[in-house]
Amino acid sequence: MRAPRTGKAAKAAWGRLGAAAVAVRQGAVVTVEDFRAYYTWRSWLGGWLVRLLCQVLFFSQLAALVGDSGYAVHVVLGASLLVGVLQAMQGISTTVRDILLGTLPLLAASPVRPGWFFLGRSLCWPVSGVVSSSIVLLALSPFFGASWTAVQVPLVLLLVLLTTLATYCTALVLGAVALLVPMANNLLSALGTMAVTVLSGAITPVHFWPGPVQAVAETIPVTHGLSALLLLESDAGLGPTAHAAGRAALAGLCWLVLSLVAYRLLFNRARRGGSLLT
Amino acid sequence: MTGSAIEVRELTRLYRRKGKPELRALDSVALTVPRGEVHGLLGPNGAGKTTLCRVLSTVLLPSSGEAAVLGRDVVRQAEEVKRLIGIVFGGDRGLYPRLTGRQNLDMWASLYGLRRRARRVRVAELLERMGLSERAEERVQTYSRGMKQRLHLARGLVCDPGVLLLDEPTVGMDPVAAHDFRELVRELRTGGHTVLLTTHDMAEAAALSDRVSFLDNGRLTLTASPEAVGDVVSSHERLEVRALPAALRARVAALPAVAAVTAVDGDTTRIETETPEAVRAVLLLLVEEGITDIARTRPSLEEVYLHLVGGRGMAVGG
Repeated sequence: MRAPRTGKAAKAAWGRLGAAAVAVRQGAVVTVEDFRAYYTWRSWLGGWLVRLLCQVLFFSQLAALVGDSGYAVHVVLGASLLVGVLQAMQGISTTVRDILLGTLPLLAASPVRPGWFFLGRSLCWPVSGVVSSSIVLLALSPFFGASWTAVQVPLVLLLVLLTTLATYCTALVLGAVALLVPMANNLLSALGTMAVTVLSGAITPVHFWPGPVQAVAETIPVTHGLSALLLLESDAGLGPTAHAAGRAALAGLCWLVLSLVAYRLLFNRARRGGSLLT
Repeated sequence: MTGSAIEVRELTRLYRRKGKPELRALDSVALTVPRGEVHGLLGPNGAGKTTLCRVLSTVLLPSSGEAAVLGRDVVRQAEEVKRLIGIVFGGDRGLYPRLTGRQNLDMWASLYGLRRRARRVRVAELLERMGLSERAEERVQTYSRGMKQRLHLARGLVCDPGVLLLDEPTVGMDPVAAHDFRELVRELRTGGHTVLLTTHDMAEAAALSDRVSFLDNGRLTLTASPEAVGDVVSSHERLEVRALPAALRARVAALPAVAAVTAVDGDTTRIETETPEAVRAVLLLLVEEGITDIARTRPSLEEVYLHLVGGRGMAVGG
């Protein structure tokens, strides 16, 4: 009797996984069209990317002027990573858009798990972040003393991808909070972005902060992603780099699980209270 | 709960409000809608119509009582209910404006679990049925309100629901678009769908509904067919006569079993009789006197509505 029951459970699990994949994909369909409304390839390359290059160049130049060469490398890597990360944080405000569109009640009444749908719903931002961050990092960092071997380049791209996606999961949790308090959407977005910028060690090293603040910084995936990137650049070996990358992945996974739980709780609460879904 | 399409028992929904007493949006509502019926839900703003739709669509939890759709409880079996219902809310909201009409439908069809091939067929079929095929590849933000509403209806039908909840679907539509929309609802009835339609439009409710219910202040005050509902206002037989001279009016009023002779508007006079036999006597007298502009009428749905909730004026329920 046990085998059929196990088979049924496995089928159900596959079914749930399939439904989750569909929800992410359909959320992504919406985000692609949203992204197209913001940018064309031309405006993204000629406007947005150039702006990001100038931004990172500015901070890196400043670091080169006030600090030693090590600090300049730290800042150019940190600032490059941040341009992707901060785009991922835009997921906070995109989530709230569904309130204005009036689609939340329809999502609540459909079989979709909202957390998976919202995972796809703002996915254009981390994707744009990964691409722009990678270009900026590889284009500018050599001018400020960073050097990459051919083997390291794919690892750099992997770390940018990991860090940006992990941060996107943080943005999803904040997006759920923003759905709860839509009026605070901009404030949450600003505070989240500032916290990531200030605490992650991109500009100011983490050890500068007092212990409790450092503990908060440990929950931010960028802290570990940047650490991995710096270790890779300094040829500290694959072990320590992988360890730091693993911490970034773990932090991202925790945020992802938290976001899925948050959306479920949020929708359940809304069904009881009614405010969000009326 | 039985095999009805919709069954609601003692359903109450309370809303907590800061610094104010709880709002009783639904108060012990009981309603049964058989399969295949178009049921009109009427009532003023704030009466609880939308709240009832939202409870039935699993979007809101009831505070107490029970509600079931096609035999499934909306609380305990919410996941099953979600696959059995389609919802259409009125107004512009609820669509992704940057997606095309086809993309919107494809997205929802996918979220309802339709596989690619079935999805393609279903979406094409719905676009054709709603007359949107030619504009299917255009972004929804370029659609007129009527087109958006038809797309809403298509979206509601994407999972081939057994029960369709239409919450003021023609609000803000121009008369032609509203007429087309009603035709689509009639087609649905022919196709055997059960429809719960909330509306302020009495003509729409009368034209589409097999039965109507009146909600007021969260309470269900009456359920009947649009024809029978007039008994609430008057059980008398009615004639409406145009250009009735004053002298003849007095003679009509003097006939046996004539209950009332009243001017309604302009040059129309309403004659109410207590028995069908009295109608015959009135008609004979009128025709003898050369009056032929006569209509036999029943109280309209609008009259019933005004009779039931009219005393409240423009006040909102709750």
